[in-house]
Amino acid sequence: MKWLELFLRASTPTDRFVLGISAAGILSSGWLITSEPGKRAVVFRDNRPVMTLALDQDRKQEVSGRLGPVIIQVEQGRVRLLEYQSPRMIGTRTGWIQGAGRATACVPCGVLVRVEGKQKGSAPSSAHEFDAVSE
Amino acid sequence: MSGHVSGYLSIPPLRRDLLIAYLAAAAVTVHVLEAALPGPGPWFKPGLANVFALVAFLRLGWRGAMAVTLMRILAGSLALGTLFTPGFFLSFFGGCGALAMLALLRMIPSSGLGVVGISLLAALAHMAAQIVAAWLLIIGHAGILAALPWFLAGSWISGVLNGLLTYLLLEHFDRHHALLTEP
Repeated sequence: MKWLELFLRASTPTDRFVLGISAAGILSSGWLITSEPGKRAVVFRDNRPVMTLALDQDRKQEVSGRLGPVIIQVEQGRVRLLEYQSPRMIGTRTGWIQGAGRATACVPCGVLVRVEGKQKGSAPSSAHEFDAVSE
Repeated sequence: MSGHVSGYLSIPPLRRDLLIAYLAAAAVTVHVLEAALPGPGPWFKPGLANVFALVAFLRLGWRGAMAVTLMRILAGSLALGTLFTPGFFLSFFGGCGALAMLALLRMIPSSGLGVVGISLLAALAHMAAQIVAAWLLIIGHAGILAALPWFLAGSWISGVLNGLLTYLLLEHFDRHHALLTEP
């Protein structure tokens, strides 16, 4: 109750309106991005696709990041960044990602993993995109 | 007034500079301590050091907030040994994003926003700028934007939390004898 009293004392009606609008915007954009399980994970290093991992094949794969090797694990249709050198380890702490359109990254390593497949309100990933990644 | 928004201090330049230095020192200390502690989650970083930049903004103006923010980022990175690393640039562009939002809010003084609203919008701008900087400068792939809602959700919480803490800090700050007496 003390926190509620503090909140009511510290905030103006405009503050509460902005809080509500921004929360709704964040939740709806999160819902839009959440989607059906993806079919493959594309690994990018410095915006260059370096490999594509099928999510129906469990494996561990190493890629070379800016700070050293980065290990990517695929298991039961999910993918995660498992191990690398980074101060905050945000990518590893993000854990498993599964839905098409989701991404996890080690920013200091320059490595990004993106799950591809069918997203809400969009067509499946184009053949061109898939081909480009497969090259 | 609710939210402690109004009330720039009318103080001599030397006292103003000293206040900025004190606020920057407190911000650097909290910045370094927070970096040493385990975070509560991947998407959430409290960013408590930003409380001191908000106090500077509300009592000393935008230039005060800019001085506190830039000193925190530079001195904090020096203390942590992360100067000119990717983390430093993310922190720098995040700080610039928050300062740009504060500059925008300063241009609409009758917005009705209080401490909590200002803190929230600055926190969201801070995170959005960091993700855009990560996309354009480091990762290079727009796929990183898919993580934006999760990071913004963390920033939403930290923005509200920091707004409440700023309100509490201002209650003490405004009663401090150094601000009530002549030098």
